[in-house]
Amino acid sequence: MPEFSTQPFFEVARRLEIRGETGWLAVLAPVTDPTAALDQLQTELQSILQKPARVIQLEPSTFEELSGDLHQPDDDAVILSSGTGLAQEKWRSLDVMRSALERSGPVILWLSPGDVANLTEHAPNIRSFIGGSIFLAGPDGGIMTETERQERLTELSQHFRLTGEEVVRKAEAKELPLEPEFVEWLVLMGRGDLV
Amino acid sequence: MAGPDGTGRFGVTVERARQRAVALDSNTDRQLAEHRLDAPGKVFSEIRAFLLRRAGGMATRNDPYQLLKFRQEHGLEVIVLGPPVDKGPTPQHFHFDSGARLSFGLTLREVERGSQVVSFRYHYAFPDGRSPHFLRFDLNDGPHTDPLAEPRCHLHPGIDDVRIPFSVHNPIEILDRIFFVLERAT
Amino acid sequence: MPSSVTAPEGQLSRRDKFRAYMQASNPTAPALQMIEAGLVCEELHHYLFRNLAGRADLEPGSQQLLVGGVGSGKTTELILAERWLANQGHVLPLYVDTSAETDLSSLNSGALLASFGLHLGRWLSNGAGTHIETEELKRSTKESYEKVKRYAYGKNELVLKDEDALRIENVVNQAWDVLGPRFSVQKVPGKLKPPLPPLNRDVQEVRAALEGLLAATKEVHKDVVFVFDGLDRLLDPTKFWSVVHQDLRVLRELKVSVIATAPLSVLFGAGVGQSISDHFDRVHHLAVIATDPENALLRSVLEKRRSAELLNGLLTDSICHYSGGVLRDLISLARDAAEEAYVSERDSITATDIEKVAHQLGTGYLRGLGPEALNALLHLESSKSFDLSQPSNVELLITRRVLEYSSTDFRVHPALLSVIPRPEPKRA
Repeated sequence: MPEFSTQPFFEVARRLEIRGETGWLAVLAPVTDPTAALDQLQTELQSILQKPARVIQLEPSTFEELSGDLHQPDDDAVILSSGTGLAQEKWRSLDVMRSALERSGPVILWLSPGDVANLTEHAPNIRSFIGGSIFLAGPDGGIMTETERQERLTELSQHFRLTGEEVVRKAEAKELPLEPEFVEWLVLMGRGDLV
Repeated sequence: MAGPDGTGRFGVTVERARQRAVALDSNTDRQLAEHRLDAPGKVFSEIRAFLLRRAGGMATRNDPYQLLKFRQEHGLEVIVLGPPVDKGPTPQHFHFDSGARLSFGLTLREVERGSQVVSFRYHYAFPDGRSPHFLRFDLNDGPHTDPLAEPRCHLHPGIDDVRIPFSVHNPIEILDRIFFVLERAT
Repeated sequence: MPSSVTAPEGQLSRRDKFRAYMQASNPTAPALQMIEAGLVCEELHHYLFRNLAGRADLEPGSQQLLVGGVGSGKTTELILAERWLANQGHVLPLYVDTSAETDLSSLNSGALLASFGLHLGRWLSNGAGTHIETEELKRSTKESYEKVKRYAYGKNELVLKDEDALRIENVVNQAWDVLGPRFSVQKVPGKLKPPLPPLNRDVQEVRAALEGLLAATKEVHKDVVFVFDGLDRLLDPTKFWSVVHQDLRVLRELKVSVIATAPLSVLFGAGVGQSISDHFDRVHHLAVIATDPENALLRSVLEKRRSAELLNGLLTDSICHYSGGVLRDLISLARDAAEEAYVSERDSITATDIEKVAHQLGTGYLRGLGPEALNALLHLESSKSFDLSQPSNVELLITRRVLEYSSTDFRVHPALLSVIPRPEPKRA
């Protein structure tokens, strides 16, 4: 069975940014720790779009509540969360009120994986707005790999002509230079306790 | 106006200079203690977003997603781009249209309500043939025994042994000066 | 934070180029915005909007229906029709997206009339009413508007509690503070306040008020054309009819021309046909645009949206193919392909980008399809036959897995077709 593209959150935000900070897309929440993931998505949206990003729970919001919330303000980023999943009838109601949900700012549907089928089956008008912009939440990257960490440690050793052990001994004796490179060196060696 | 020590005027002796340097460092310490940034993850996200935006408007290709890295441990987060010591251009640098390049490292300590800056280094190397060759903004992890020669927060104006006092800045504020002042003047 | 660094003079940055393309290729931009930006091909449906508007103008009280699938361009045609009518000068076109104003899913009869009355009353209140010459008409117009508002939004009434009901004649003139706890305030709901149980109120109740407003309108303009959008969201045809039945009858009696949208299910499926012809003088089907050998029509849509800046000829054909002729899907694919190129650090769209976004679109359509639905789709692909008496097949039509090119030409959406799992070939 074909699968949707996996995208880190900052890439999702970047896509909205190049669209002109507008448009609709859907992100499928990860199975593990979706709450932390939602928080991270919100952070990336705020950083990249340079505007506030709010989360609105679709259940149990009414027509008036949703319509009001989405337009006050109208141009920030809004994440519409379906929580653990919405009933079919709720999807149909949302679909009927799609015009009332339209706004100038971006709309991100945060869906449980099982809700994609409901979206297509019971909310074809909303699905049409999303088109093919449905993404699996992917790792956000940026974590230094082990290879990268070793390369940095080697460069530091070669430049300052010190081994890691010598750096640790000096740090313990409070004799380590105060330059920022040495702080990084200790953290990379797992000795941030000496900072 | 210069005058003898103790007359209420600035003294001109090196001892008085050192005293003033100590006071400046104390001020830096105080500013750092009060200075709060967002949580480390959010700071990383903001720096990456800044670089992504800037990269998108440049002719020179840079991929901040690949360039910017972090490592966390013991409540500390190190955010780095480029090599730890600049010895010439590398693919890991952020390259500007002018031919200049940037590498930096920032260490944050996670605290309640966000994070505090522990140290930073931002090395902006001008294109070949320019003078000075580089500018580097450093924040040391603590005061030096000779704060006159080495203020805790300082700028190297192209000479490793010369350090001019510099005030505490938010990481984005330093990047602002690099991208919108230094690079535009280069 | 400032936006992107200004590129050297005379050189558009890569980001600026993509941004401009994206803004022109926005599939969710309001139709009016795209029309005003000159990004719409008015000739796409053979100037259908002129037919709609012309008939509405020439035959007061006529009722026309515009039926099309999701993303077929109905709203664009309606707004073009509204603008055409407004340009004639002697007609007042009122365009209303009812689904934006109220919860259609809890709508009942009378609601469309309420919406019509509100818009008409608002128009008269916002300056147009100053052209009314007689004070009598001004006064009655104001009263009519108030009645419509009460009908639409409800009112508060004082209602006596049970044991005091017989004393109503004596009590009604006494001060509130004397009566105090013997009264309760009962809200009488209006038509447009969801969620409410359906009210069994005669729509004739508001007819007199609407007549009053129409009389005032005739002082300024001769005829009113009401353009209802949003009713196509009522995917269930029984719901559609329960909402429009009485209201449309009243509007016809009032000689108000109506152009309305409707879901595909009123055109296809069981029990259709007779109901439509009872109510509507003309039904226009906005079919999916068939791809001709040169993809001329679909290409023209993309060219209007600045596709040439990032797309070459062959790739344009590929996007046209995968869209199946669904306008919103066409523009979405063009936009998504550019987005894919941008995040992959390319300077223009490649075939890889298009394949990727077509795969995404198809995967979205594929989700939720069970084995029977998949078999129905594969059967359609191989035999070209599609049984509309099956509700499950109508469902495939409504959800755009199947596209209607005419009343007899149905095909599987090409993007979906590209990802449908095929059964293993039987071994000999």
